[in-house]
Amino acid sequence: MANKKAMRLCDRVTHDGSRVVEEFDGLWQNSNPDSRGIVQIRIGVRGTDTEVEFFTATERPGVLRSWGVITQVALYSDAPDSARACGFTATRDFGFVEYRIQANLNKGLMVLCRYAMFKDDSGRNPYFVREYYRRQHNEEYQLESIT
Amino acid sequence: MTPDVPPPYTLNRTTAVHENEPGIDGAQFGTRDDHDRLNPHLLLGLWRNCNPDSSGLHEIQIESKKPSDGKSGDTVLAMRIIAHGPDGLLDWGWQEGPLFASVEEGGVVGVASRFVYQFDFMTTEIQLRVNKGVLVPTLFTTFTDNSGRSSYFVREFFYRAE
Repeated sequence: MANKKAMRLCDRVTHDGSRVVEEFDGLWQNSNPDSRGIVQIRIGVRGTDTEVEFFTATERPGVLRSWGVITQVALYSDAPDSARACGFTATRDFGFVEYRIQANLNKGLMVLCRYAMFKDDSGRNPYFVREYYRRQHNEEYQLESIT
Repeated sequence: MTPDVPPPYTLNRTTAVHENEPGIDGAQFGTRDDHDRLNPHLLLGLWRNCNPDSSGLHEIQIESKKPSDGKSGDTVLAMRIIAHGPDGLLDWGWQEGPLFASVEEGGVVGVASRFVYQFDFMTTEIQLRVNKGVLVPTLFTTFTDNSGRSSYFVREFFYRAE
């Protein structure tokens, strides 16, 4: 343990690399019913693989738009010696805009942050959004796909 | 489907949504013309950890930088981290990060940034925002040295030291 490299004292620990991710599995619903951003999140856990699908608001009430399934998902625990996954990061690149997603669980609530970086010279500001999600058990929306 | 050549946009707060926009909340954050009016001073300065017993970060210094070419809308932030290392305080050095418009709870317009520190054995992605006068760095750390340590997430709270 003593010879482990660390940039923080709290990182000088050992861990067997195991991880528990079931806490994420399922549908998550935005706590704000008027959200115009990511309204719903589906997280699927299959063994050691995790996939995420984001559904955003559209101008049509009750209709969501899928960003497609993202399989490159990095999971994070709550400590370097913990197996409990409580956060993830992912990237969705649409060509003209790239979103960097950072999420974490806090007492049953998912806090999801999104950086939008436009690459199309449209003049739009890069922006940062923070939204909150609770577990959802029923499909309430009609879905459409843009992928 | 991502368009090869996006149609023109109307850049104002009510009609800036593209028909193929992945989301429809971006219009509220304005245009690059507004970028210079964002207030990075919310983040600038010297910040210290509210937790005196922290074994993570100790101090954060944030400065604003203008690009040398003088282009508008390209203000970036420079951040320096002093951490509690295994053998005392450890300087992580300076990193640059872009400035993002943000809207905090209650509709308060703010700013946020994102930094990435890469070392030979770990990478840390840092989300930086200010909420009601408190600097909230959120760190997503990944170890790349096959040490078995979990990638992990941690959030700390900093007060303005000057």
